[in-house]
Amino acid sequence: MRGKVTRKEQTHKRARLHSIGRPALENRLHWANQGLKTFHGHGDLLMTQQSRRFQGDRYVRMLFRQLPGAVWTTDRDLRLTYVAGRLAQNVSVHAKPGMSVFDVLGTREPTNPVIACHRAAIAGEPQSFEYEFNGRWYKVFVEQLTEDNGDAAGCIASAFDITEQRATQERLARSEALVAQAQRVAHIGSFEWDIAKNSVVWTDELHRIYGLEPGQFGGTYEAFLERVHPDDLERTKSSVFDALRNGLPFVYDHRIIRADGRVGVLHTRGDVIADKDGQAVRVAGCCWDVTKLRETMDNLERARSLLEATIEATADGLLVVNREGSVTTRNQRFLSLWRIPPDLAAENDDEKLLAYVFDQLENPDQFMSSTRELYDHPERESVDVLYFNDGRVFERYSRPQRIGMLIVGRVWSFRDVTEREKLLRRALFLADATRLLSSLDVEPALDSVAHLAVPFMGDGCAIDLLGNGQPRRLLVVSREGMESFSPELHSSVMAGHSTIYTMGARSCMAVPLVVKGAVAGAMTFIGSRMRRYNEQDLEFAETLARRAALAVENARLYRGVQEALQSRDEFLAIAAHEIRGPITSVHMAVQGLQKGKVSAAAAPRILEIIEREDRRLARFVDELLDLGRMQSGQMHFNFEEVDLGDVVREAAGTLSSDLARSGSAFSISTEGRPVGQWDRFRLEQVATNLLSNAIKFGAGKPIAVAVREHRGLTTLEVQDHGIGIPPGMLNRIFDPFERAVSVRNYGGLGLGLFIVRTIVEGLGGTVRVESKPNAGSTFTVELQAERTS
Amino acid sequence: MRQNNELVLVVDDDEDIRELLRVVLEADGYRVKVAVDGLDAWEQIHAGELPALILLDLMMPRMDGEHFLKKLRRRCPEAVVIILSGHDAAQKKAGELKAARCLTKPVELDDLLNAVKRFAPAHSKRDVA
Repeated sequence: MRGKVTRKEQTHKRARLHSIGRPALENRLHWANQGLKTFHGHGDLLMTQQSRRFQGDRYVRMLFRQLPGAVWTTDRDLRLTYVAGRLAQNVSVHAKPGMSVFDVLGTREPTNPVIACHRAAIAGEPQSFEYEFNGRWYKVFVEQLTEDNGDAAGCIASAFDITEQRATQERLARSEALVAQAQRVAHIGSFEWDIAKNSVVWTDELHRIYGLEPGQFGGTYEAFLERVHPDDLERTKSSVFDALRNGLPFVYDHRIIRADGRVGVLHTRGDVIADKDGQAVRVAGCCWDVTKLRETMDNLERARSLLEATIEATADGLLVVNREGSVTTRNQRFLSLWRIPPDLAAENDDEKLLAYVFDQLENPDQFMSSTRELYDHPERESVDVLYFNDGRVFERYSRPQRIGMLIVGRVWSFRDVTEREKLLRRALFLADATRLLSSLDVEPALDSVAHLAVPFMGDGCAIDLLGNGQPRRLLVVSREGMESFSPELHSSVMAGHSTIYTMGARSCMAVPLVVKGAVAGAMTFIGSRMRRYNEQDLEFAETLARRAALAVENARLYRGVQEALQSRDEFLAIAAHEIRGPITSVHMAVQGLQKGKVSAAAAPRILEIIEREDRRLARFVDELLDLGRMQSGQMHFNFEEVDLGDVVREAAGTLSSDLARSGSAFSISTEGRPVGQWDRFRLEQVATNLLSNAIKFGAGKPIAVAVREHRGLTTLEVQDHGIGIPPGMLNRIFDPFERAVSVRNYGGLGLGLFIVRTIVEGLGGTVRVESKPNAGSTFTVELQAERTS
Repeated sequence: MRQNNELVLVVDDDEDIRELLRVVLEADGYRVKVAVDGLDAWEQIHAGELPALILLDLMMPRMDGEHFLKKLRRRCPEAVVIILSGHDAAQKKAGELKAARCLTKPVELDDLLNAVKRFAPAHSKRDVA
């Protein structure tokens, strides 16, 4: 034993003190106590007196001397009365009889555990403890040493070196602790099922996995099954049953219901332990709480499937190439965009892919150099546009793929923007075309548009316009350097139908120019050698044609307005001329009479002139007033019963002098009863105007008027055999300011037939004309007897 | 009316104006011929004497006054012509066609007679009966 033990050292001496059961301790100490009593009570006297006993004592002394530990006794004051054993020999002079326990320990502190144990033992309470001394551990037993009369003489103690045993135990404990810790960290718990006893033992960690406090588990197979998720119960039973039947290790996953109701997932590995007869006696195994792992794996799987689905669902083609030039990811869209065959795709070799797409591009060298540049500078991001020989356009994006800070590859994204590009180009084209077509000089505008359309829409463009019902080829534009071709006008386009057709090896399309629902012309396009027109192209051509037709219509409207303005100016000039005529006549006649320039013989003729010119003037004024009313829609009718025959005869009477001067023979015939609810004054205007026209343009030839009534329909027909009306004028002569002949040849305001038509239509009737140049004209007015409007 | 009085040719498609001019000019002692249009006038001049004065309307059928006068100028540059027209551009055309005067319809009778008198003085005047 070592010398003085400091207080501090004492605290480091790990003495495990605990009471042990008296019977056990008594058993262990019995032989020693008895031996020591003998030794202590009789000394050497006994040894010398009885050699046999001496011999025995010698062995006892040898035993005690060489005891792997120590045996000692003390008196009631803890003075050592006997010390024996290897420990006492080896360690210290202090541990000899005569020394006290306090000396050995180097302290008298009553709370010192060794001292306290000795005191307790003397008091009758056997003690045992483990005590480290001089770097070794001892198991110490201390018990009361009694006198023969049973009084306490002191204590007897024995110490056994348990250093190795303790080291083993510590290793085991550490090992167990490590296992427990490992189980805790790994969420692995273990179990053992004694089948015969139906006793199931769980480790603490397994309790924790199930959400239980250690010891809370019921400890039976049934208690285990109660905690299995109902949906996995049958499978669990079946796994265990199979394992027991086959006696083989088993692995299965199952869900459990934790104490708090949450569901967990366990991965269980177990083995069946059999007895020597091969009978399964125990099942042992461990359970790994893979709930979080499973969740993580599920999340990973979800993330992976989401990524996969996203990659496949995107409209863009995606390609990921690692730093070694292998394709790590690509979607089907990428393959279809680049038209990559499956066997090539399967090789996942970026170089081969690059070689394959090379010829598809308009500028492959630039594509290759920009691609290499990006591979040489992995950190770069890029956006560029790729143009294909077949007209497709891709936008290409790329950026590095990083794991943390490390660049592991490059992600390429390809977007087919052909349609967008096409729409953009078409929009720009249409904007240009619309600007060109805004010109009122439509034919040069159409020419410019045709030049714009070649080669944008094809190798050739022809435009036809309809004039007088006949198509006229306005222009043909062919692509520079191409042979000139002039496609025939497709028959269906003149019927108003757009069409795609072929002409030799060329694809053509023709679209009508429709103005106010009627075909006014056509645009024909000849495709390039590589181009096959489709419905989309046709639709675009129709859009262009609509704008061209609008331009044609605008030009026509403009021309119409110009013509109307010219007509108006002409009308004003004619009106002035026509009015000046009678005014001049009347003026001169009156002044001639006033100034005595008219002889008596001439006077009646002069007066007749005055009267006639006065009538002309009055008629002009009436016509002008009627024109104003008719154009503003303010013409009023006074309906009454009117006999059209009477009206015509009155008109003929009024015009008798004109008729006489014209030299035309005049006849009038009546059939039926031409009576109806009409406006007498207005019908007189109709009859007068038609008769005046017949006189004026009748060339002195017979004029026939027929008034007929048949079943309530009254017809007035005025027929002359004069100069007639050119066919081109027939549909215009009823318009205001229109005249079929030059005002130089025939005077008048050009309002007569307009007034006729307006009145007749106002009365609910119709008027039409049939005429042949130099053969005469027939005007036919039809009126219903009853008012229809 | 004396036979040697100056001849005035009235060219107008308006019959009433032709008749009125004939009446008033004859009253002033002129011999008056009438033509219904330029062609008629041209044929009359071609067939007969050159009038001392031509009263010419511009807007007429078959051959208008302008056409007639251009034709006349090539053959008789000295012919005296007074344009009598209701045409807006009559004054301008009169200058171009070297007409002696341009009278715009409706014309004052005195102005007409004075102009006629100036360019074709009548030798005598017959009183109106």
